[in-house]
Amino acid sequence: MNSGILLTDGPIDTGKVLYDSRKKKMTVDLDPSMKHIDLLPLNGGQIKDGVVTFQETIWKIPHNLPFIPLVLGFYYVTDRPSGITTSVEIGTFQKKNLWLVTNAFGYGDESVQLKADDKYVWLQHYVNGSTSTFKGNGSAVKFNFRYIITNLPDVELNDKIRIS
Amino acid sequence: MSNGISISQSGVPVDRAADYQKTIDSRWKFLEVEKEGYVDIEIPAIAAGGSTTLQFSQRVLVKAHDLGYFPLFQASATVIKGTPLNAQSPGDPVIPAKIYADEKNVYLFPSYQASDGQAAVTVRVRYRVFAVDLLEEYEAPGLSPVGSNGSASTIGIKFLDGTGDARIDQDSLTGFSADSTKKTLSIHKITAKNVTATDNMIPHNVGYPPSYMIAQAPQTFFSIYAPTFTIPWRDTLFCGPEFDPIARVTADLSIIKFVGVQSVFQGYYSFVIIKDPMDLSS
Repeated sequence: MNSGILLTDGPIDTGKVLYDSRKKKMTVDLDPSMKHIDLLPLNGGQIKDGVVTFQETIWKIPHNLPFIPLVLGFYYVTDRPSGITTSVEIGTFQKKNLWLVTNAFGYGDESVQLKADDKYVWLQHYVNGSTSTFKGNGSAVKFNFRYIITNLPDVELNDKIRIS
Repeated sequence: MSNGISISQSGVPVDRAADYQKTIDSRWKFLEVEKEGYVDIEIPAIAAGGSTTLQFSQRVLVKAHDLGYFPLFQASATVIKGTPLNAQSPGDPVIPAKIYADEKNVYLFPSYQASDGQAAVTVRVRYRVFAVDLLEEYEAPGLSPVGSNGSASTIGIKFLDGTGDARIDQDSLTGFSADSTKKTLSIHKITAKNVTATDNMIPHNVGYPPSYMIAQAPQTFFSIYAPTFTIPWRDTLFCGPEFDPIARVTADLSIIKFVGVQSVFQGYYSFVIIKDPMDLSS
């Protein structure tokens, strides 16, 4: 591309480049109908105990992008009752995946994971109990989920990235 | 520098805009993409015989970035042809390989167990390199953590970045390097720190719990292997890709703290603090 804007600290041909419009930047669409950025009060889903393999979708939204997007997702834990087995504390905030029960060999694990495909972004709740004494946390853990669906394709499962 | 340019999001007065409501500000850095794409790499067959311990004995060039510094980058590797190398579970498409970068290139380091041998495979490595120096120790000048509500406005700016089919007279989700109808994520702070169990707080002073990205700072990843392993780049510095830590993270107006969950969270990491509050819906 031959046109654009270039900002430099100093002479335009030798100064340090401060801004180059040819370089793609990470942006987020603010159109409220797209809902590419939001803050949601959610909880961890159904409570499952014992020997169990379970999963469910606890939130889902279409992204309307022509590729699998890079999504920044953060969980801010606002409540979890005392006396339950959990690795989260009130006031913690985790990125992308929230471990409600951290994997313990012979016991099990539980998590909420951020997922995306070519149509949707969603949160999937997983429970893997390995013993009859396993206690899931599910809806007992409440959190604010803040997400940003960016304009960049995710590198994990995406071929629709223009090579540069 | 006393001169420059500052452009706020459409509908937000520039003199009352928060930092995170700026589309362009010549004082700051932005999460700018230097290179991105994917490369298909053919890894040749390896004959069986030798040590039963995993050996990183191959270094494969993925992409030259030529930035001259250790960059923030994202990457993944997937087997698209052949049987995965030491698959962790049947059908696991992701090979147990490391992807690191130095000041010039992004590399793939396939791992294998020499005693087993391995047939040839083709790996697709996807990458995105940001123009962000992990060792720069940068903090954005100026600080406006609280802004004003935007109002409907048709006044603003758009710059095409030359990708896709976007046109200046159309509203498109992609194809613009600047668009005042959108939020542009800027960087508040870049810092590297040797995190330990007793020294695990990262000061950011941005005024709110922020979004962040984390990567392994430049270090000699291969020096932990026994000297008998044939690893020519044993003492070479590489940085790791951006990743999501398994740690208990807390944050307030001025610091982020990382605490391990099942094991101590420690190591040499670079943190990129983004001007983007976690407690806002926009």
